[in-house]
Amino acid sequence: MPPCEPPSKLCIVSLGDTPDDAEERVCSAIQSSFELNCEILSPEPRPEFALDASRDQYNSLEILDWLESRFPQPDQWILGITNADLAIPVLTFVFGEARLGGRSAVISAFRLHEEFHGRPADTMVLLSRVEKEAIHEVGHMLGLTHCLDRNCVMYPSNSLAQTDVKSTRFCPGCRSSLPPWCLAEPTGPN
Amino acid sequence: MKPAVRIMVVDDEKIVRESLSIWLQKFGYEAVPVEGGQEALDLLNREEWNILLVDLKMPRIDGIEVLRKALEVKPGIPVIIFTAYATVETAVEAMRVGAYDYLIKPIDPDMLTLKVQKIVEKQNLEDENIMLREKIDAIYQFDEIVGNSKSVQEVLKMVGSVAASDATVLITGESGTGKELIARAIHSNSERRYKPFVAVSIGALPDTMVESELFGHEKGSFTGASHTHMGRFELADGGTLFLDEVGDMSPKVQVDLLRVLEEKACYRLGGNRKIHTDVRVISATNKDLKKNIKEGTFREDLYYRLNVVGIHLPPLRKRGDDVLLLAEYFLKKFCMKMNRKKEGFSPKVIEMFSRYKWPGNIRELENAIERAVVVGKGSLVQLRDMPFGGDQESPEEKAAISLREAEKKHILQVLDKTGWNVTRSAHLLEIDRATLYNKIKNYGLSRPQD
Repeated sequence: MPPCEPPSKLCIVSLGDTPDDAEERVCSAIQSSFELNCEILSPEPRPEFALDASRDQYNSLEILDWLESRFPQPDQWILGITNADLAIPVLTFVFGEARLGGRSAVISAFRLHEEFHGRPADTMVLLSRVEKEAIHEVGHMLGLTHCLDRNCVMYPSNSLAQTDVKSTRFCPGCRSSLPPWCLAEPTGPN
Repeated sequence: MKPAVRIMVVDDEKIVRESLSIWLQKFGYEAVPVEGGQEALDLLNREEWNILLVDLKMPRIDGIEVLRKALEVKPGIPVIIFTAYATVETAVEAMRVGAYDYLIKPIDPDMLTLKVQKIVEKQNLEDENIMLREKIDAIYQFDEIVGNSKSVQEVLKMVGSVAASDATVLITGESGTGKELIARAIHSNSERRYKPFVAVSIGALPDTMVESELFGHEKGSFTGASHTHMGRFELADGGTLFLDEVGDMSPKVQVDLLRVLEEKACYRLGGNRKIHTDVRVISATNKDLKKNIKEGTFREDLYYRLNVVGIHLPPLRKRGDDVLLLAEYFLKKFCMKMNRKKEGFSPKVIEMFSRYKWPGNIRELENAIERAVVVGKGSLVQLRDMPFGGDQESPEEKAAISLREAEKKHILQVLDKTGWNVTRSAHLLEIDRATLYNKIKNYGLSRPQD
């Protein structure tokens, strides 16, 4: 269910180390996709409180809880970016996590790096994936569920191939489900 | 709007059931976290669920027990068991009891997505199938068989009672009386209705092709048999085979057909493999088969095989007010199809309906009304819109001296005009190809040699 009220701003915060320029690229991509004011906040440390040492992974839902308590203003939304590997207890990993119709989300660049898959680093590819995951999670915050259209940014990504094939755009169906106040004219490359 | 897919996530660990539910909700599913086995079974008794995701190790009632009881309450419900403590024994046990799948925690998200999507797609197809079946049932009542006359009501009663059995049916009646429609009505109201209805007009096939069409042929069985071909008996397996114009079968085909009906199996031409077929045969003819038996052109034993139940369709001229009912039905049908508006028929047309003898029966009436809708102007169908124009004397009456001769002459003219193209000629004459073949044969017509 989409939230009724628009936030005063969407805050972007890095949690520990992140890919170079990731916050700026995400901010720009979100402002191109939505009528949302974005602000990049001072970095926060890597979320060690959420570490599951047995898996060497970070519980994404605990991070959302922390983000909401660390930035409690109800009219502000918060999107965390991290290089930490995220997961929920029952799944091997998640690329990102968001409260459906809520005010917090987090994305991980850990598995978006080409190096993770044994290939040479490619910053452009990495940042393009980070942008898509960020727009996808903001889509969830705006109440959208996953979409069956492979080109739509709301198509679920459980693998890099799925992330790479989709665009940064919403399909007409998802676009029409967004609250009218957040719609921006789509710009930029797919 | 379709109701959301409901998934129950059963795990005694709060973080597991809640995080998995939240993850599934992002797919648009209504995923509900449930704390334990008993709660899950209570909910299953009270509400409708599409999928159960159940942890194996839980206190009191474990996953296998939930699975067992869930299948008792809702047989066939897909239950996915997941566990962090996988052993071969528990996996085998879960699958033996009837789990849809068995997954090891932590689960690969892509794998879980695919499993759930596969179940949802299957359930959607099943729902669609049920919906389509209901639609088919609704369509194939006796709606298309129009008529209030006693004779038609008797036919409908017979169709209703014969549909439930597997008995062979022989439908007799003049050309154009709707024999295939009756055959379809029997099929559509029988247990075989979701299986094929295969119609073959034996009269339209050259003798040399009848066997191949009915029983199929193997590759290379004769010149030109470049690939294996399934016969109509095979294609109709489980359903109904409608054999039209059975009175035109050659003695050889009659013998073969009798054997197939007796053995419920056939051989493809050039084949050695016995092909078993479960087919209900409904046949039809406009011939007097008893007369043919006396003349020695039709086998008596085959006649009794085909004619366990006989249904005779009366000619239109003997159906009284049905002509007007049918005319109104066709008028509505063609107006809808061609997006025209016609309110009915002029008094002269109605008067003509009862006077005209309709030698082509319902097919002739249907074609006449279609033509009237195409060419007619105004809200009522006028006599001039009918194929015989303003001429109140029917063609049959006009040519009373020798109707047979007139028909022969006319058919020959049309055949000459189309260069002996049977399909085009049949279309122009508004009769089917099988009837035209019969008439060519009966009148002894032959193509002039160049």
